[in-house]
Amino acid sequence: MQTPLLQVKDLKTYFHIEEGTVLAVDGVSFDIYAGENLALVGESGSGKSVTAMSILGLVDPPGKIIDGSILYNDQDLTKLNDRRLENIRGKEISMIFQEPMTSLNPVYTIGRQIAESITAHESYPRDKIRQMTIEFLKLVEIPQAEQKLTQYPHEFSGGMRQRVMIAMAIALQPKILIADEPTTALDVTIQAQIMKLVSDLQKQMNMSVLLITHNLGIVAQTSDRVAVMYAGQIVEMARTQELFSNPMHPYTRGIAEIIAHS
Amino acid sequence: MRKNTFKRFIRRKMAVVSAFILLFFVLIAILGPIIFRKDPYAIDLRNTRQPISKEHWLGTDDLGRDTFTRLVYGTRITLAVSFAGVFIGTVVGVLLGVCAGYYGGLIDTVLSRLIDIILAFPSLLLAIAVVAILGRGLENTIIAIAVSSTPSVARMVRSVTLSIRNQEYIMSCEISGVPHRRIIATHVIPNTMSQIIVNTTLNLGTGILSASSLSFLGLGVQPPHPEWGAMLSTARDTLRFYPLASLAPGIAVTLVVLSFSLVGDGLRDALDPKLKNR
Amino acid sequence: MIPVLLIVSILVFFMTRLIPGDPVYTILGMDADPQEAEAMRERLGLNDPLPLQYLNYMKNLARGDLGSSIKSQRPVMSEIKSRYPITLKLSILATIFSTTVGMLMGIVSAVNRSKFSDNLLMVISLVSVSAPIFFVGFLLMLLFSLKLGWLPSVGASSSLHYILPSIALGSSAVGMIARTTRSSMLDVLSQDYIRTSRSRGIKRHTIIYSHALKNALIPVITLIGLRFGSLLAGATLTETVFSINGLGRLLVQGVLDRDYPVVQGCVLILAATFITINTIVDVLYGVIDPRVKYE
Repeated sequence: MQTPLLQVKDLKTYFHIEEGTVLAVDGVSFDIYAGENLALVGESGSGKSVTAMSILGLVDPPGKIIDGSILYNDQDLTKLNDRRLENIRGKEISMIFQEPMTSLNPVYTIGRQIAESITAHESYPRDKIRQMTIEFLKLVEIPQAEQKLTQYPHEFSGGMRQRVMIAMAIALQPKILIADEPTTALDVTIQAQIMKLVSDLQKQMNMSVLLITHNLGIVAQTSDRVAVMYAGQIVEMARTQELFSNPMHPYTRGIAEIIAHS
Repeated sequence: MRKNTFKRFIRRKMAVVSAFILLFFVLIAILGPIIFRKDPYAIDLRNTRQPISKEHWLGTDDLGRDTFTRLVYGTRITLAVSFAGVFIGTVVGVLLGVCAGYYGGLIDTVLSRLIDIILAFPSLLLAIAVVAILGRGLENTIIAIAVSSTPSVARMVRSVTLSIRNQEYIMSCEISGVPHRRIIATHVIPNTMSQIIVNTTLNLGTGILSASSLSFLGLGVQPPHPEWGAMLSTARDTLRFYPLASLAPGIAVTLVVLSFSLVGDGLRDALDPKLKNR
Repeated sequence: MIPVLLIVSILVFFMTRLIPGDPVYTILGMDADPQEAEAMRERLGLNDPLPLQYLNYMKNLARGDLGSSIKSQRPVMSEIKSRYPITLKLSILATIFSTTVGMLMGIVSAVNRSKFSDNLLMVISLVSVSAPIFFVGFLLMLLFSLKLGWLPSVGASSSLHYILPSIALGSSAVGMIARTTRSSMLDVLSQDYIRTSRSRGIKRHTIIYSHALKNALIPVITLIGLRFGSLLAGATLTETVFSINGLGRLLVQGVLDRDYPVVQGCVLILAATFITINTIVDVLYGVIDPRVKYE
């Protein structure tokens, strides 16, 4: 049995707001192995996004990681300060988000934004970076890559922007890619394309993917294992096929049935 | 956690403290001349430039006049000028704004253009222009402040009026023959009230800044009246001898304007939920 | 820009025609000979119909002739020419000062939201907006000139002389810029693309001072453009405090003397400057935000 790349142990992330304390993530544990696609499913409010953000330390006040550990490379990510985390973000562990329309900086060209993902961690000569940027745009299947370098995000469609996001995320060949609802804001036809792209890249680069979604259809097609979240906790975790053929937890059973019927 | 409530409380606390400060100054303005019976205009050339003493709490100025008494009398003048100017400006602004918003069409276009032009002008320059045309003095200072206050009120009232104008209950009033004036008085104005109050409070602060600036330049309230800005115009000569007394009027202006801003902000916060529910 | 300038010239022209009192008697004195007065009136073109007067006014304007000062008889243009650069320099320095300090305050406030530094800086901003410029001027004079003797306080004869007046002039703008920067930055920092940048592992200060700031600039620049007019006006106060021979002081003296060609000329030049600056600001938008150009 290989050792897991990432180990989340009993993670607790709470939000202290005026009305009280929200137990967004309340004791979550799971492992991610090299090269696998693990899906974290649940409805809105189940805590899956917060879990993902917690891994990279992107949870802002009033949220805070209260307890638990996230082990990567013999380090506990919850104990690292921002500076050390900055070395990991984008390089070892990357993330893509749900809203491609607003997730790119409107005042910089996409060429510059992709280049910045690289220069944040490595110093290469300028033409090398330019070459790499073009390569990545081609990798995510954006046509006429060279011309697109000097264009701005608002000149791209939603699907294209998501591809750019992916290009930025994989630029340094991270070990783990966290995809937080990557296709939810996109057209159904584009959704399939994007998921296929992620799959292909995953195989090419032997990258692990943590897929956050509420769309079980996608999960069924691309994920190796599934963890089901409900009210801040994982209620069931199994290999995809098993989960769908033999759901244990009543909640899982409920959603599996919906899938079966559709 | 309790941070939001705390902040709101602090804000309200600051607003409350500021309100008390303002109340204090208003009381001084009204009662000061009665309590402190020295004559602020009395020249005493044997006692010029005296330091702080029991006899003269802030010393005397370069003509031997008691600085403290002048400061007290100055409260009345400074506040009164600003209040009068802003009051006139607000009334005119409301009238203009309601007309523009309610009647629309050509009247609106003309008035809006006018308001925009005046608003684009820096307020001090506007005040100087008014004084340039009408002449110096207390009355014209009041007019200058009124002219500066009018546009912001007018614009705000206009937009509120516009938004209310086309609502059903107004139209049904019109159809049933209620005269326009009645509609405006009973429906339009109450809806603009809270914003007018906030706007006016803030204008009172800027009005004092304008008035004191004009008087400092010699274009506003004329000597020997102890308006705070006017008192500061002689500060350069007396600065090296007794800084505190020279600058006391400036401290007073800053304090009062600051208080008006805080109270205005507090009022805006307090009245906001009501606005939202509309 | 041109139509606005035209409107302003009309307004200024009519503004001075509104001044009550006969300028001729101001020049010649109250007990002047009526025939002489009439002759002068002819010469100054005061008997011509108003539109004709305006036309002549515009013709002269095009030639750069702003008339002559009633008090000193010298051409207004030359009086303005010698003083305008001083006031402009003062205003620009004040802008630089208030923008740098104000934006820094705003950024620090936004990044440290709700902490002590945020509250402190916002209180300072509020005080800076409430304190009259001339009061701040005297305070600076007291501290740096009289007590410490570091900086001169009178006139504008050297670069050092510009320091205190510029700071005083910019003092109230600092508070406004700080507050606007703060709210604009808070807005931007909560945007999705900032989260994306963070997830890339980009350094925090790069995110704040590069990614976020560029997006937050637009409202701040708008404010700076608008405030420039107030700075020009405020120059009247600063120049009076520090005895600087600038345009502001000329204007005030003109109003005190009821010297309306001078007043007219000053207001016109100040307005033209203000309008030009705002046009430049409009162009700047396109440079900063590519979406603007797109539209």
